[in-house]
Amino acid sequence: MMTLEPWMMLVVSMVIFGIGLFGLLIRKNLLVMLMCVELMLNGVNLSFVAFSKIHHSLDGHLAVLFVMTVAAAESAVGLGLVIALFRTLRTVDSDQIQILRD
Amino acid sequence: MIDYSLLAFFIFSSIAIFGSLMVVFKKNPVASAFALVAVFFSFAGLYALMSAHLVAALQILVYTGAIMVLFVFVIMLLNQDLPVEDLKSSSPFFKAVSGLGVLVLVYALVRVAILARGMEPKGSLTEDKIAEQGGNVKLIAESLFSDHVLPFELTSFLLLGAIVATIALAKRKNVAGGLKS
Amino acid sequence: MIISLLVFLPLLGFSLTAFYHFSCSSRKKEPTVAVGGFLATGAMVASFCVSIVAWFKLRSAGFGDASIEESLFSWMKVGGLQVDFGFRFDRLSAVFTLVITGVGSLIHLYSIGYMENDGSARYFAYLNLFCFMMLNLVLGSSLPQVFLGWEGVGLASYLLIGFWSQEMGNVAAAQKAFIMNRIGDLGLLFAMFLGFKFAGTLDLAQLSAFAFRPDVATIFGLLIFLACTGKSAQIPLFTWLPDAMAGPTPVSALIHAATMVTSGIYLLGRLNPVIAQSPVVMSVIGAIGAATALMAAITACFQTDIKKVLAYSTISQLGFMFVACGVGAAETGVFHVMTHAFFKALLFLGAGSVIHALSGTQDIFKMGGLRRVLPWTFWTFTVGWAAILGLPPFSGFFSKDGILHETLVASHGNPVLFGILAFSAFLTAFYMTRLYVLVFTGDSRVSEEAKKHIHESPLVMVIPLVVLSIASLVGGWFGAPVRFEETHAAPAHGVSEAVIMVVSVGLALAGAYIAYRKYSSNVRMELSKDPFRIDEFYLSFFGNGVKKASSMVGRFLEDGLFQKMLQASGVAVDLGGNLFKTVQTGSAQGYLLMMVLALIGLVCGLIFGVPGYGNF
Repeated sequence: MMTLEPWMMLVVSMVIFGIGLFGLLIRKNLLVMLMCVELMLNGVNLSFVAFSKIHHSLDGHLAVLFVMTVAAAESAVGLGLVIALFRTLRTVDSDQIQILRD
Repeated sequence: MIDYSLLAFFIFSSIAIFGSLMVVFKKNPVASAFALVAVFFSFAGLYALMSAHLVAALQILVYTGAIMVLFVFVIMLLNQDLPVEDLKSSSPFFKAVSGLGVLVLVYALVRVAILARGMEPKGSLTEDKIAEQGGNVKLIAESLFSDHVLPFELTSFLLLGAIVATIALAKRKNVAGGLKS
Repeated sequence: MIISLLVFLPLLGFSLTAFYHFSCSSRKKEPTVAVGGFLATGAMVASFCVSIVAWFKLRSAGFGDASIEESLFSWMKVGGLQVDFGFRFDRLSAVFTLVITGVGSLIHLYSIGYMENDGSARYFAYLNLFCFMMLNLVLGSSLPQVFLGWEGVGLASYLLIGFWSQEMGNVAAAQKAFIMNRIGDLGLLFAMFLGFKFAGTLDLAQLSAFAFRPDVATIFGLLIFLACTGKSAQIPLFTWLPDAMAGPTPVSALIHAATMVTSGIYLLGRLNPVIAQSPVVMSVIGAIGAATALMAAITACFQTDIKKVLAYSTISQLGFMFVACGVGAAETGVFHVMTHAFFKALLFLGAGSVIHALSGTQDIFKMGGLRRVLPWTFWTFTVGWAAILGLPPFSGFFSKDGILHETLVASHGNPVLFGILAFSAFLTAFYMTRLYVLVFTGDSRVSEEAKKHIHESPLVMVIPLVVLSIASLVGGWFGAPVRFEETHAAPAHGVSEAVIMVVSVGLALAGAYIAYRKYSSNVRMELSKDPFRIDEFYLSFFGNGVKKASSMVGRFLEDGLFQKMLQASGVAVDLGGNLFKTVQTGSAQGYLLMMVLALIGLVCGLIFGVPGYGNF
């Protein structure tokens, strides 16, 4: 009989992290790219909690709290940047935003 | 006899993985955003399965409550000008290299996860002990406000900085030479 | 909570006044001096009343080692360091607190009159901020809290010296004061590190009870003393104080005469048990104090600006107090702090009254004969003059005579210090009488322009003068019994107290007589000069020296070495740039992919192992 064990959670967390990373690499829409970053952060959070469970400690939960704060700040600033970019360049396509290259 | 927690785990994790794939592969950003909501909810379920109640609650509050609203709001704000279809797909070569790289990474990480099965616990806070000492919310709060009070205070600076930055970025202002909307 | 109340009242005043200022300026209305002054002065007077209550409370607890302690909250808790934010009110703090709140209230009141034309609520807000910080300094229970006050008074001093920021000179003076103080603050900071490393605590009571290793005690004491030389304007960091006279005169009276500059004495008094562990530190303090007292007194004889004379006089008197600390009689030094606060504040406020009457003239050779037109100022200034000369029964007599006596009988005293201080006291009498005679007696040399507006100061300015002159008269009597009832074990050097008294009064009278003869008639203009030129020395040594050294370094390194290296690196970068240009596509995700691939390489290396290194 199989029971629920923390390492399964770890597997899920890593798969989600990978999917998020993949999306970040291939999608061109800045908004979707930001969503993929959130996915990656969530994957890491899940692994924190799972390791916390494995190690009988609560420090992982604290790390999750801090990651959540950072994620909130990151998405606020990131979306602000998207709005500002959209306003000046009229696009959210990451391939068309290449002003640093020249 | 079936282990309900295992069943719940499979349900939540399939929703999470399926939802994540939707986030990545749906062309319309609004559809991606709603798939992301589903992922966040299922994550809350996974946290609850590991008796991380505080984190589960915060997951719903912060992610589904705040961050998702922010995303949807921005989509709404830019909606009329936003292309519904994804603008231009990456080249197949680029996709192939990314996909292969990510697969290798996930494989490597999953090996670590399987190694974690045999790990010896380092701490002493087993489930019973946590309950005995007043539950994990109390313990997390105590630890947060004593040992980790400095990072905790620093996050407030981070949030303040984020607020200032966001306002500065999103404020309409006519920069000399810049475009104005 | 009585101590916290008296500390936080000025902060309340500061907040209210600042709020008033901002609410006025947001409504495009000129904030009036009356409202700002009323708020600020009210807060200070309330604070003074509370400190009197606290004083009686302390007295009923029996003086000696009794103290009132209040701990508000745990301020820092990092590793083994635990610092509480709290206040300790004992005898030493009590003297300072009463002086700060008492003299502070009077000067706030005086400012309402003095700043009527160009003051604003901003000025009073700064004054209140200063008082709050100063109270933190003298009442703080731990060294970091003293440091908070120490920096806070520095800030307030900076803001107030540069209050009239329309003139570049004032701004430069403010910056000079701020920067020179920083040098001293470094000493305090390092002393704190040292104290924590060796004593493991920063609580003042525990720190001063701790027995340091002799060498550590010496370094600790010297660092503390460095801090004191900055704040209390001693050699070598004194040159900011004369320049600080650019601020409004009440500020000079409060900050640069009565309170802030004496915080060095407070610190030495507070940490006296540690300082006393090292004879080296004691003799350094004594020597520097005596040298400063003498040098500043000589310089004061050549100054023509009424405020600069008083500024150098302050430096000189601070030197006296440091000598008292250095010979091991910190109590006498603190006693002199108190009397000096009274009479020097009185003298500064008198000077302010004169300047106010003459529409801003500060040159003493353009005054004269003011006795008749400014009677109140004249009589109160006379009391201040008598007090600083040390004529009995004025307060200066008791404290100055006390210090002179201690230089002979105290544990670290020696006759050389006595000689230098006695000569400085003689010079003090000379330059003060010169000032007094030139300003108030003889014929008027006031310019016609200023004569038209000449007037006695308003009542709000006269009241503080009168109160302070009473304090200057009777202020010494409280300390006197303590001094005379003390039974010194057979006076060393066989000099009795009475002889010293006669000597010091005689010297003062002689100095006064010489100055009177020289300046009472046939006044010839003198130009202000600085016989020691320390300022110019600093400028040429540190300013030009650094300039020369850097131009030398510039010639050899810049032209010779760096230029060639830069050219070579330019060529290399050009080649490399062409090579790597191909990778820079401008697509953010292209860069991301490269980053991720590198990361994957690293992670796989960690997990599967690198040949020859193994894995984790």
